[in-house]
Amino acid sequence: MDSGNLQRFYTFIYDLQFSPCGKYLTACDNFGYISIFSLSKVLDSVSNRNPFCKWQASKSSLYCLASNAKLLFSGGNEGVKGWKWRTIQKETGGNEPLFHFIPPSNQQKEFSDVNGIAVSNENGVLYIASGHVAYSLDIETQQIKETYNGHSDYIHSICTRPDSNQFMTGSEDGTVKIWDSAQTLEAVHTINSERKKSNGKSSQWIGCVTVDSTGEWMVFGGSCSPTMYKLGSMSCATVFDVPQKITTQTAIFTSGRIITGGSESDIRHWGRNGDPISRVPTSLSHVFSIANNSSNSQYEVLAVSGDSSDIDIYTHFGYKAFSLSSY
Amino acid sequence: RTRGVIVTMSEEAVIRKRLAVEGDSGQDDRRLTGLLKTFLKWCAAENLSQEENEATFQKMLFTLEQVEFAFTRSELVVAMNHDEELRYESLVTQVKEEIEVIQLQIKALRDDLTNAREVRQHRQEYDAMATIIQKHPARELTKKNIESLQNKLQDLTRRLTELAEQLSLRRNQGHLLVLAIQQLMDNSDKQSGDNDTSTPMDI
Repeated sequence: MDSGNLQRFYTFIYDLQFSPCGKYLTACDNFGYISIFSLSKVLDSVSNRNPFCKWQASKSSLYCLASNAKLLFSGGNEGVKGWKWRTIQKETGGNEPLFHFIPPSNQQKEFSDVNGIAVSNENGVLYIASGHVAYSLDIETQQIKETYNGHSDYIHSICTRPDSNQFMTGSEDGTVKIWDSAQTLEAVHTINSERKKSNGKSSQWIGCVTVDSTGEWMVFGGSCSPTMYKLGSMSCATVFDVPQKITTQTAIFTSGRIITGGSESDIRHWGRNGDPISRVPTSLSHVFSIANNSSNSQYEVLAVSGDSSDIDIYTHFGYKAFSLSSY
Repeated sequence: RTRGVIVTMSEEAVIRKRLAVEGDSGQDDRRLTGLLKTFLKWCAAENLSQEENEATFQKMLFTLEQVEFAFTRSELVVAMNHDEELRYESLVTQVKEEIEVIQLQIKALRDDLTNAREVRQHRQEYDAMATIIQKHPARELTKKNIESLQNKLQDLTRRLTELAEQLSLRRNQGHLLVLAIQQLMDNSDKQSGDNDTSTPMDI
């Protein structure tokens, strides 16, 4: 097996992001490459299953992607880099990032990798989860605005609440914290995930946090089953029925349903009241990211990625249409 | 359509004509050339018996009839093709209109579908909220609890004030009592002080 094939075999695609216009799909992997797929080409013919543009954004892994109208952000072991969508669309790729932000090292002098980023359109701010701490970065000036301390272990996932100045973080310490962007001393609210095992050590961790488009409902998951919360009353609505051994790495709200994926080969579809709708198989054995292209009705597909260099595309929720290959 | 008499026709002219109409479906062409040949032969022939004359004449008429028949048939076919073309055109326009109508219907149904999806989503959210709400006790019950607790509180405060009043009353009475006893003792001391020199008692 030559090095190309070896690299392909060990590729994990950690995150997927659709472009704001909805015409492109972005994927970042553990070798630091960003691949861009053009949806019109991909949906047109069978032979176009490869990225139209791919470049090495970072020498080590990239864990997360986010985008606003002008920029694509990638976060990984080397901090956060921003790329202009215009230069990407011209197929020259983002060889030069527009900016490169490295989070400050913490007191233990460890460099923490960026596990999650989320864009807030209200403030023009990018929220970065790096280690135990979350930062809010002003996109124009690339300066840190605020630092949010509170978690006792590293943050896995971060997401913004629409129409408000709040954001949520889910961490390895088993808590979900809801922050207000102005208050940096402590989180507005902390939710502890329920204990699954009753042994002394709490081995809970939160892998993903996501909010729906109205900002009222939140789903988080991890080593605990995916749990739906109503944010207005801070009460737990329901816990999805997932076998105990399955961990949840990603969840999204889309088209009147919730889709979760994790340490199994199927992705699960749930209704908004917690009832299971279906389990749809993927070609992956572990799912890291699910994304739905809701901003463009012409190319409205669901993309799923995980521990493989392939990305599964669903044109209909019930079955996989085809797979894209990032190699 | 003429039964024009061909006066002088050389062989070359015939071949030329044949080559000109080449590419046509062979039968008509063959018939016409055959007719021409027979006619020329007949004209050139001498000493033919009456029967032979009649026969050749009939043959030629027959071929002519055949040719005319073929001609009428092809005319009818042309007319039929034309009619078919018109009919197909009208069909095309009709189908196009129907397609447009149906596309509008599809669009309307799609909107209905998105509305229905939204309705279903709201229903499900309602379900989820209902489960949350169920976990809390009913408003009536809590109201009653609150009322009863408030009543209890009122009663107890009233009792407190009553007891406080009584306490102050008793205190005053007690104070009076002590005062009276003291005065009595003072008086008795004075009296006993006049009578004898007994040691005063300590109170």
